[in-house]
Amino acid sequence: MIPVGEVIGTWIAVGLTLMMFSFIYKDNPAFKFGEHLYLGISVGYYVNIQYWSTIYPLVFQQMQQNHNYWVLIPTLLGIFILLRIIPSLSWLSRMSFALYIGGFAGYSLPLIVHSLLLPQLSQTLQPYGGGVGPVINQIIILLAVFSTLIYFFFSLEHRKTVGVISRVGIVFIMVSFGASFGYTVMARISLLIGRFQFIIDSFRGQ
Amino acid sequence: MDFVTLILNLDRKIIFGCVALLVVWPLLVPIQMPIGTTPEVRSIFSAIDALPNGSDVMIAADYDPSSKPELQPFTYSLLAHCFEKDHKVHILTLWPGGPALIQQAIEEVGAQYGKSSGTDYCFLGYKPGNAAVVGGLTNSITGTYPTDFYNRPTANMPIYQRVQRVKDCDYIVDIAAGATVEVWIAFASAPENVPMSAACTAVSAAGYYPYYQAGQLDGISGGMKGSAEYDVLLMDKYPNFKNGGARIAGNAVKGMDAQSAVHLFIVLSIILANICYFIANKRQREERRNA
Repeated sequence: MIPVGEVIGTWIAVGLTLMMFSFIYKDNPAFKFGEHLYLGISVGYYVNIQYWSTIYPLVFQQMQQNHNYWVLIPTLLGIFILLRIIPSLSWLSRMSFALYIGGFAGYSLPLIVHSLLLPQLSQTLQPYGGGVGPVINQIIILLAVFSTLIYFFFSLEHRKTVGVISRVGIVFIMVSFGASFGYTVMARISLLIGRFQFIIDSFRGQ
Repeated sequence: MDFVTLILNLDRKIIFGCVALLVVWPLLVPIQMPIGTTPEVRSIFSAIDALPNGSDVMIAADYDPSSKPELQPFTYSLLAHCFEKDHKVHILTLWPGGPALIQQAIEEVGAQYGKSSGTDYCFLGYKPGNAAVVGGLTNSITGTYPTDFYNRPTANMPIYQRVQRVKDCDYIVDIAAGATVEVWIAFASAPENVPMSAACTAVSAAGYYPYYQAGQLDGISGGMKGSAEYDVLLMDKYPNFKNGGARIAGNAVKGMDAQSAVHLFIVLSIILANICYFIANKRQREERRNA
């Protein structure tokens, strides 16, 4: 037997889904109610998750159980960021941001160059080989990278040869946008299918 | 009002209604259209399947309920595949909205395969900090996650007696709704030389193809279609999965009929609307010329 709480929860979820769908007809109080409820619950949920997964174990638990009071330094720097809302004390947030940005940039830059930029560059400039198909692919990739980079190169006026190459770049950019848009349509339809699947399964008692 | 004018002035509610109908109908009466598999998804499946039984797989389920229809079926199928091969699963999330979904998946699939937490798998839970967390995992998994999702100390768990850090894992899969794939490549997979694949939402799939092309990802699964492909591969290779895992498999497959029907409708609508637009333009030009 399904627990009563689960049944009520499912019916609330189905009701809220239909409330959100009602916006397709027109803006209405049921939609507004659902929208505000969603926002309120989301904020409450995320604050709760962040508190119990970050602030409590990394600050309070550290001080209470391990007597580690060094955690007060990053906590204080975190509070400084919040002080941006008080104009007279907002300058304190710069210290936190400077430390965060500087530290993170120093940590991540070498890794990003080594792990993302260089492998992408070396794959773009691979020696041709492996049959006709791969060679054609390599040429298309090289042409696309070169022409797109020229399109975003603004130190030369886009006329004559540079203009022609940058127009080829636009074509590749448009193809990329088209692929992304097609995928976006698929994603949105998937979300709709997910909701309908949930409603149908709820009515079937699955 | 003639047909061209009717199409060009069509109330959008009619289009919404058609889309809703095309989604609901195949869900109620499945057409069971064939689902072809792509090399990108086959690569993920082959990579997991080729690992020796009992290998360690790190799964990052970096998504929340807003991407559930696209990515949750993949999580279920991947977990089932891993447990089918007796792989040890280390699962975590970098998204605050993810823990409830992962808990549901790992507990359901784990129970179905008789796997126990701490020995066969460990749900490490959520930790904020993206790159910092992934970087921490390359030094020590138990150091970064001293306790698991259920607040049990990880250091004493049997699963972490031979696996200390990401480098000790045999494979990484990031199931991502955002930009965490790049984080996993840059901070774990590439520097630690651990092979990796990604399952992402359809919106972000196009952006990850350069990493697949460059060999930094073994495979990519994009959206619900990718999840359905993985389901199909799994059901073909492991018939037991089809029987025993009815609840696990097929959620993405069930949605693909509706997906195909709506895509067909959208493509036809775009073609029809464009034809009508050009006809209307031509008529206007002729009217201007005659006037």
